Amino acid sequence: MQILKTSVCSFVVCLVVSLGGQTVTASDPQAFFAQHCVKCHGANKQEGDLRLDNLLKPAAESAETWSLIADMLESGDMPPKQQTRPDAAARQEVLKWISDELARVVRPVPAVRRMNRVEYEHTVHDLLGIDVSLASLLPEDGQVQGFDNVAGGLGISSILMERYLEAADVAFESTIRRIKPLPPATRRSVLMEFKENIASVKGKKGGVIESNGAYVDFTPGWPPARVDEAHPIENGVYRCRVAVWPHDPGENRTLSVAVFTGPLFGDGKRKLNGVFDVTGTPDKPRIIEFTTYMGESHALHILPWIYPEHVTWRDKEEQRPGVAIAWAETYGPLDQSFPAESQNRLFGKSDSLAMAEGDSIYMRHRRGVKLHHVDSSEPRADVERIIRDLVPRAFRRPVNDELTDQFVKLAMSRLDQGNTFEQAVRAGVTGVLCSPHFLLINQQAEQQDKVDDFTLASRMSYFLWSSMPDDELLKLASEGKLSDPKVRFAQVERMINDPKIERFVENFTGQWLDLREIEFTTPDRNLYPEYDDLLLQSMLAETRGFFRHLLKEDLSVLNFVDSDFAVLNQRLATHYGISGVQGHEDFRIVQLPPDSIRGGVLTQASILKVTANGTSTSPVLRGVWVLDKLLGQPAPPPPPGVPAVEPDIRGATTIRDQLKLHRENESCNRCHVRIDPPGFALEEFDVIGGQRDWYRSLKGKGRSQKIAKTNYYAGLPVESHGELSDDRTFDGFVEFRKRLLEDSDTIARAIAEKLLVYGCGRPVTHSERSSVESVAADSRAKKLGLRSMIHAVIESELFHRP
Amino acid sequence: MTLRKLDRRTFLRSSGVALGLPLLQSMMPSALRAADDKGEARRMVAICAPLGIHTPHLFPEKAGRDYDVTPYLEPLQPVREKFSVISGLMHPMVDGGHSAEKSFLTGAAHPGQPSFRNTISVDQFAAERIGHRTRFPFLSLSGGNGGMSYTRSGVLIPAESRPSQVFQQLFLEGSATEKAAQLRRVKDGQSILDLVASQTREIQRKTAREDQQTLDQYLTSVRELEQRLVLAEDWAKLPKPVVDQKTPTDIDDRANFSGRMKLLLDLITLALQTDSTRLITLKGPGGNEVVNLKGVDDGWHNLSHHGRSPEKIEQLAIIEKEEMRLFGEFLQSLAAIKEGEHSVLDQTAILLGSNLGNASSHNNTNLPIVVAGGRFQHGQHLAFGAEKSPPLSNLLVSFLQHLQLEVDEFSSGTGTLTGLSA
Repeated sequence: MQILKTSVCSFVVCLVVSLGGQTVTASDPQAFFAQHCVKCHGANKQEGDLRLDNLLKPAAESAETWSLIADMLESGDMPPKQQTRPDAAARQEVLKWISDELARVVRPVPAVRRMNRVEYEHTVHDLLGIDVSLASLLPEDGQVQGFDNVAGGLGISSILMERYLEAADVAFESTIRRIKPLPPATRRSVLMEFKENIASVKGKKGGVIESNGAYVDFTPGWPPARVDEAHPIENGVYRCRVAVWPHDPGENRTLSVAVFTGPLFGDGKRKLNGVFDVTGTPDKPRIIEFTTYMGESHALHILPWIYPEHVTWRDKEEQRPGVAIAWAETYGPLDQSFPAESQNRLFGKSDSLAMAEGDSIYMRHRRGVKLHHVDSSEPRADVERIIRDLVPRAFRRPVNDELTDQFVKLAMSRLDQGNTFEQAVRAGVTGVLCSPHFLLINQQAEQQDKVDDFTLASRMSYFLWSSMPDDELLKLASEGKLSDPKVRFAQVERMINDPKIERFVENFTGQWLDLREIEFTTPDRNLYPEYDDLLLQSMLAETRGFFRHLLKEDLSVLNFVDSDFAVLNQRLATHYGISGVQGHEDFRIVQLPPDSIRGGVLTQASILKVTANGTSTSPVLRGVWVLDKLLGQPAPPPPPGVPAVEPDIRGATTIRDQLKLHRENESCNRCHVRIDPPGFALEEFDVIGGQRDWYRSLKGKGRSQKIAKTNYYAGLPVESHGELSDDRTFDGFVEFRKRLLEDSDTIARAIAEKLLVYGCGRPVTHSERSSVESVAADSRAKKLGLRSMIHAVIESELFHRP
Repeated sequence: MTLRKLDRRTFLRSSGVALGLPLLQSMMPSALRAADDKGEARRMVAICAPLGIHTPHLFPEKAGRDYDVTPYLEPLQPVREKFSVISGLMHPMVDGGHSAEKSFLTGAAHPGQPSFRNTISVDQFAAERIGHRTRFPFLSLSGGNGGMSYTRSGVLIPAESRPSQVFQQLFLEGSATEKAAQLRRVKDGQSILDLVASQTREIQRKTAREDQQTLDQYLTSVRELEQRLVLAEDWAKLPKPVVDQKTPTDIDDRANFSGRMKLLLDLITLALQTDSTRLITLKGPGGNEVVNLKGVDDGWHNLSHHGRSPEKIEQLAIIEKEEMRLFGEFLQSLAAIKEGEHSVLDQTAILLGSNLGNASSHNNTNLPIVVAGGRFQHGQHLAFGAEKSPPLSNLLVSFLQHLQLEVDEFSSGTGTLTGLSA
């Protein structure tokens, strides 16, 4: 009912304004400003250099000021608490008036943007059928409104152009397999037959032992479990198998093992292939299996991840739990095609093509190996055919001959200058991959007032797949069917069900919820001895799994604030004090017990970690996070010259006391009255997301405060009550979360806005407010389901705006 | 097999690194050098310590020439007359804790805000003007992740963190076939860019006004790279300087921070000495690693969040003192290299500082700043009060003037830094 009333009122205001034309009538915003604002921002006084009595209505040159006014009104920063506050409906009317006016006068936000480096890599991978790393060759992308795929934030420089040339060259090279792959073979290593392992056991290095013919490792540290005989001798895709079983796991402890692949030595990048539960017995070990790309002589790194950690001096009464590793093997290379499939895809199949032998290459394990290159008996015809096939696929739309001819000519000119066939194709392909038609998204063939189907196809696929549209989307576009909302709906459903949706889950949560920052700090080992890599990996998996679950099941976005379930493995369940979850490998939906504090992202360890540093939590950082991420009302930066609040972990004062002092300063208080309360509520959680009643401290008075089996002391008690800027109070986090849910409209709008920014790849300002409202309203009709909200973004005006 | 791949990847980088200078493309680089630099090679190096420098151990209490030697300044005493320590400076409106490192050499406001756009860094500003005089217009190095140099459009320039790679680019000549392949790719690159430029212009004609900015940037970038490739072709015909050293072996282990830092500083020394470049930025190391120095058993980043705990500050000081010791050695080695009547140190304005004034509270005021070398008044503690202290960018203006550029303003800087410029 409330909603209905508000929208009717805004409609009336809107009508008055548009009928009134240039002049503004008495019942309108001017009266509102006169009543609430001009006392401090008027002819006599201009607080913050702002004067409102002579600002008639938004114009292009005053747009920034009006946006600021709208921000202040929306967040409730203004009018200040001591003044009579306008009622919510009146405030909403004025906000709508400002945004409608702004929409009329402000230059539309640009649409054309380049791909970011993540999109570039996915696009080139999908286009050429390769998987070489490309994003790492390109410079970092800038962010706008918190996302790195937004027009305006993706600058172009000559450095970037140079890297595009280089990346295209690397991509082209990786489509061609230069040497014939070896026939697939099994390479197997039995650990206790390998001399390094035998020596480790003999020398009791790191306490490793032999049991039932297997090598038992207790920690991820030195000495490693060596399986050198299983390492591949050539690059390729391999199926890897590792046989393990638990050794003295103890009661109720599931052992796990993380398997990485990568260089044997050094701290070069290694790929985590999974965290596996160690089950089975000496007779019937668990066989872990996965398939991955491995480079020549890359190693399998098999690391025991054991929780709770066993500390020899501390846990004397218990047998030491360890992971017994019997054997490991690789089988491959599995990709046997020669020429490579990616080469066939790019070059096509033709009798005129052949793999020609070139220079010899020295390889330790086989003789007389020749490097190959692609040759053609009809170079001109083949070059032309290859380029004509590639261009429309790369540009994601039909391309006229005139444009295609340019690339054909480029490649031909290389032939004319005496370059080889392959060099000519390389130049042509590099040209295509550096063309603005390839690198720019949203640039239409012609300037129109409506986007065409091909642009729509690209917008949809860059939103949900961070890559180019697939054949089906392009086919629908060419048939003109994507303009049909029903077809779009079905396609979005198909796209969400496709595995490529993981790219959206990862990129969106990585930025919206800051998961990309998860490794920015490492918790202090003395204060948080229970923190381990298993917890870190589990944190990420929980939040991504939670997001994925809401997406797949179309559950309400309000679950981000509070949910009656969590997505957990045993490690996290233990961390959260929830019983009955066995195993670390699989995450499952767990119904939360009624007395659990968990539920919603604010109780997820990942979020609590990214909003803290390794030693202390800051209510300010966490408060700022809540305001921006969940309420969509980011706090402005602190005014210059204000000393920051410095954390003090010596145990005598709490950050809360320090902030109290800080807030006695009126200019600080204006924002901190909004920032601090959410942060106070979240003080109930420590830097790794554990629930706490008191702070851990490295200093304490005597043994009584020392916590057994640790190096820390019980510090001051946590105080988590507070008062919101609108006077609502809460007694701790659970009540705070209830208060937050009372603002469900604000939260829905905030999440709609984040999705719009990411989904449309363009900034969303006050003039795009109507799109935000429409997305929120449309999905409200669908119980605010996340999936429905994504549909609503794709149906929004902004998504279809040229 | 691996070797071939490496060459391919590095070739373009080694062909030019970066330079944006439109005017002088038809001239030979060697001719340029003689014409422009009045027989004097002025240089700059800027180093940022991303985790801060604990200022109570850096700043002396007394200002002026007879300042009291603090723990961190002790290792620099052998070159006392060649450096100054400066307190009380900051970039106005630059906040956001760690984010502020983006603005350390640019001065751009509010780097922590979601819609932040950076501006050009001081080294790139100089590179646009004098970068063509050397084979490498600039070097952007990193002891960890990221870098300090930003282009005119505010894009972070990827920094090189492997000394072996930089060494190869600076000093190693490829084989004849490699050189021929390199030249062929430079030519390919030129034709490709030519085509891309004309296509961009074509799109520009058909595009709405609000999208022109992106296309303008595209076109400018293509043009700049075209010109750079022309210069790269010229440089490729000149031999690289010969040095009496082997390619350094990279140290992957981040815990060996001293070893990694020393490799980078030695490389900088070589690059300056051979006049391979005159503009160098370095983002120092600093992450979660537990540095393997005696007495340190917690991660560096954690220690910087010491929360006033004396034990943590003590460990932090062990690391930072080592940083200062290495910096001191670096200055001494530059002082020992003569170039005409001056030393390379006198020719090189060097900045060591941080975007964090207090890493524990993440504030960005009263930044730790040490300036060495160059033609400045040194041997002093230059203390600015909290009130009316000049913007840090004034120091950057001083650096630009040291490079003999006729510049009075840079970013928020409106003149040279009082008390430093001779």
